[in-house]
Parts: sequence; C-alpha cells; structure tokens
Amino acid sequence: MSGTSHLAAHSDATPSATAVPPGNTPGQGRRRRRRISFDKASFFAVALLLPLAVYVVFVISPFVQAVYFSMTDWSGFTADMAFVGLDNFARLLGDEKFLRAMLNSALLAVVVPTVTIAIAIAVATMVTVGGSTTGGVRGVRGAGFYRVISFFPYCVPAIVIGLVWAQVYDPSRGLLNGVLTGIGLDGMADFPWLGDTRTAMAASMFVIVWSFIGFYTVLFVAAIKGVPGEIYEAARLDGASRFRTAVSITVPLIRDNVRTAWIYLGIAAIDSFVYMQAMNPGGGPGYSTFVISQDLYQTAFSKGQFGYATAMGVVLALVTLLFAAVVFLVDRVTGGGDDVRGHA
Amino acid sequence: MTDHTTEQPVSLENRRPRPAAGHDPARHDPAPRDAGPRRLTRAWQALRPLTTPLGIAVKYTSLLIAVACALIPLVSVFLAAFKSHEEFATSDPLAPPGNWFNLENFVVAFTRGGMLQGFVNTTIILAVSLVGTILIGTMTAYAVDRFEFRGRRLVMGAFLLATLVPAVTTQVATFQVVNGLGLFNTRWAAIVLFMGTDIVSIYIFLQFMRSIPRSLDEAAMLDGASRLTIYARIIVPLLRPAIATVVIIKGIAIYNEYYIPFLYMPSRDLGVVSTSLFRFMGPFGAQWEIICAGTVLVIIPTLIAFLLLQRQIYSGLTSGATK
Repeated sequence: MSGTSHLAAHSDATPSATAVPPGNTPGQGRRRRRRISFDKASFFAVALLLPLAVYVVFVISPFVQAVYFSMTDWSGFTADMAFVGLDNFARLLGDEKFLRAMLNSALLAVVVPTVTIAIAIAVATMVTVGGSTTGGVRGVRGAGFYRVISFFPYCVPAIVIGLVWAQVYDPSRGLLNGVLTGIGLDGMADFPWLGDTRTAMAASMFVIVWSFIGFYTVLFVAAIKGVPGEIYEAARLDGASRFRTAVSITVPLIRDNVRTAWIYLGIAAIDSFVYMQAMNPGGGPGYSTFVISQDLYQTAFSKGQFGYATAMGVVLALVTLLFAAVVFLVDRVTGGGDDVRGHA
Repeated sequence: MTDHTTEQPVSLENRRPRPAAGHDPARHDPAPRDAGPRRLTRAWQALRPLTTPLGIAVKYTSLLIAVACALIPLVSVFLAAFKSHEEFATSDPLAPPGNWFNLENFVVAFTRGGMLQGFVNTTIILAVSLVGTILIGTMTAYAVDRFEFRGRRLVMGAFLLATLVPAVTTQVATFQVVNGLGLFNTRWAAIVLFMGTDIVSIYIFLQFMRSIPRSLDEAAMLDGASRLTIYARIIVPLLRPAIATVVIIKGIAIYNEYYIPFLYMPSRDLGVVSTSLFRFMGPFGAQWEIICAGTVLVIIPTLIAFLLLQRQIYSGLTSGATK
C-alpha cells in the first residue's frame, strides 16, 4: 500500500490547517498547535503505523494475492500455476450453479437486513420509548427482561444455531412440526421445511434473522437512548401518532446506525456460510439455499480448483462492494447526509 | 464512513399541526405496530395500567411471541442436555428430562470433548487478542481523530474497504500468509487474525473519541504532557465505556468463532470451546444430547458476561453510536 510511506512522510510535516475532517463534527475546534516534535512524530508513528502494518499484512496483502490467484489455474495442492487471465471469470458467467448461488446471495442481501432491521427497531422502540407510564421516557414494563432475552441468540455460536434449527425443522420429530400438529395443523406432520424448494430459503432466512436480531436490538436501543427525550415530548405535543413518531422521529434520528447496520447485515447475509452449511450442506433442494461461499468452499477444497474458487471469491467481494455502494447511494438519494428534515 | 447526524434539527414545525389537543407532554410511546390509539393517550394516563386493551394487547402479544421465538429452541437445547441418549431419541423436544440430575452429558462433554482444554485455549486467545484489539483500536482512533495528516481519509477508506471484503475471498491467501509466518497450528494464528481484521472496534473507538473534548488534550499538552501520557492517562480512561462495548462484542465474536480455529489450529491440543463441541459429530452419527450439554456450558459464560457488562455496553454504544 503506497499510503504507508506517504503517511510517514506527512507525520512530521506541519499539519495543514485546512485539513478536512472525515465526517462533520461541528463545534469542535480544529485548530492545532503548529509544533513538530519528536514526541508527536514518534507517538504518531507507533499509534498509526503499527495497526496499519498488521492490517496490511493480514488484510490487504491476502486480498492482492487473491486477485492474482483468481487469474490462474492453480489447483491448490501443487505449486504450479499458469496465468490464465480472465478465463476463470468468463467461465463463471456460464456456470449455472454459480449463477444460482449469486441469485440466492443477492436475495439474502435484500431480505435479511430489511427484516432484521424492521424487527430490531420495533423491539428497540418498545423497550426504550414504548412505555405507557407517565414521567420520563421509558419502555414498556419488563423492558429489561425483553432486552436481555432478545440478546440470548447472539450468545450462541452461529454453527450451533444452524444445527439447533436444523433439528427444529426436522420433518418427523422436529419442534416446529410438533407445535404445528399440536395446534391442529395435521397437514404439516411431515413437512420438510428445509427439504422443500418452496420453504427452504425462507426457513433458512428466518434462522439468520433470528440470530442477528438481538445484537441489532442492542445497537438500536443504545442509539434511541441517545435521542433527547424532549424530541419525543414535542412530537407528542404536536399530536403525532405513535407509529408516525417511530417512522418520522426515531428512524431519521438513528439513521446512521440503520445504514451501518444495513451494511454489516448485508455482508453477513451475503456470506451466510456457517448457517447454510449447518442446515443444508449440499445447497438445499434444487440448490435453493446454495450460496457463493458454499460454492467457493466446494470448488476449492473438494474439487481442488483454487484458482477458479478464488475467482468466485473476487466476484463475491465485488458483489459486497456493490451492495455497500447501493446502500450509500440509497441513503444519499433519500435525503440522508443533510438532516432529517427531508425525510420527515 | 462519514457521519451525517450532525446537530439533529428535527424541525417539528414542519409536521402537520393537529388539532387534537391536550396530550401530556411527558408521555411518549411511539410503538410502531399500533398506529391508532392516539386518542387513547388520555385514557392511558388516567387508567393505567388497566386500560388501552388494544394497544397493550398488541404490544405485549408481539413481545411475547418474540420471546417465545427467541427462547424455545434454546429451551429445547437446555432440556436435551439432561436427557439420556435413548430418551433424547424418543421424547418430545420440549418434554422435560426424566431425571434433572442426569449430569452425565456435561461430564462427557467436559472430559472426552476436551472442553477444559478448550476453555483454557479460548481464554488465552480471548485475553491476548482483546488486549491487542483494544491497544490497536484506541491508538488508531487517537491518531486518526487527533492528528491532522493528509492521508487520513485514505486510511479510513482502507479500513472501511477491509470490512467490505468477505473473509472467504481472501481465505486461501490469508492461509499462505499465516503459514509463511510460521503461525499455522499455533494460538498466534487465531490471535493475529482476530487483531488484524477488526475494523468495527476501531469505528466504535473513533466515534466515541469524538465525544471527548479536545480541550482536555490541549490543557494537558500545555501542562507539558507528552502524547503518550495524554493517550494513556486521559484518552484511555475516558474511552472506558467504549472499551467495555468492544470487550463484549468482540469477545463474544471471538468466543463463538468456529471457522478460524478450525482452519488454522487443527491440532487437538489447540481445540477451542467452539471446536470442541464438534468432537461429538463423529463418524457414528451426532451425539446430540452431548452437543446440547456442551452448548449449555458454552453459552453460560457469555450470558454472565453480557448481564454483568450490560450497562457499560449501552453507554458505550450510546455515545459512540449517536455521533
């Protein structure tokens, strides 16, 4: 990364008074003392260059190598690799299994964050400002209880979640069909939730959403608590309904958190490897839950086509970047970045 | 990532004024589900907690369904942990175990599954990588927020990029790097990977950092404090809520991580908590009741940590998240 030497060169230069800070933090003085000292330079070097070094070695350099591997026919088991240019990528375009996986991952990237965020905001609203008591802003009764419960799933390792839910969905002795037949839906007695093309994806998505809600509820609870209570009081004075308050006040004010959550959730959903591998290692009925990361894993470790698999990885990275770009774009277009007025 | 929430001008004047008068300003309950009962506000106030049948019913029913969804699968795991192999195979998943004092599965998980070794390894990895993550994260946040330098946006962009590149993309190459450094099959493999790839905590620190007034550093600087002193004596103590947040979030993620230990530390002696659970997936079919017992053992420390650190997590995320 060329930035490293560039930074080092600047660390002892006079800081530019006009440097634009990332993000706007108005009201904070940006005046710096124009003093170059050994103290400053040395601390700066350690504080920034050490993290950057770790980062370059373990994050950037593997990525650069991955891009190179993706243009070879490397099998992974020998040192031989021939440069094949973009052949792997051309091959991917005609690979139906891969295209199916792309479609599934894209579907996950849209549905999982949307559902998770909607539910997490709903729960967070209820436990923070949804209460019906007089006095200060507070949540529904037992808010602490719900908050803790909603966090439970986050404490369970993802792989365990996948395996537990595979048991829950089990056609003959699973919990779900047991409950459904118990309430009189006898038709569901042997329904294979993960083995039917119509339900496999939805059932898998439910599990992924289930595992994420707790953490994002915590995140949104924290964000809502940062909103001054007077704003809610004012809204109430103006006669805003509760739904409208949630949509017009809560969401715009925690907008940055929502956007960040969207990106992290999307990335996690596009990957989904652990969950899918635990529930349907083969990719599900008719490959209906097969995702790019599973294809990559199979291609690399079962078929011994590391070059081709890495090309899939590069495509996966591009899909993720595209996803993040879309989220930022939508955020910008819908009025984020200025203030909440445009949205309210 | 740029921040946009600046001064939060909510401009309530823009909202359509509604003639419905007389709401107590001290009440706020924007629950998203029940849009209707605005008019009930007064009734709520007067007759709480008995009234507003609809609002309360919808609210609590939805919460209870959510609680059931969150808990029932975990309850079935908990119950299964006490069941014998035959009992597990034949009984209903939600039926209570015949003998609550059947701790056989826990014993087996602990001894044959090597969970003790797993806990030791996990603790070591967790402690070292958390300390590393916090040092790296706080230093980076301090450098990026308090120093002016031209490559700052570039550095932030690079860090952001790293969050966006999926781990699987770089897996093969990362493996080569780890192997090349001679870290394969050592605890250091997991430790450096957990430290080097953690961008989220840098963000949490950075956002929290912005809420610490610069005047504090400047005052200390006038008193002749060096940057290191400012960092160690002012910044780090003030970042404590953010550190608690990172400890819990990152801690749980490391604790639950299955893939990195599985791939980089295959040696049996280096098994961690999450990989030790899978010793019972064995060639003769999974021993579910033992996996369930192991899962219970694995979850307990996380839950305790969350309950103890809850308050700090919220305050850490609040200051960090809103800016």
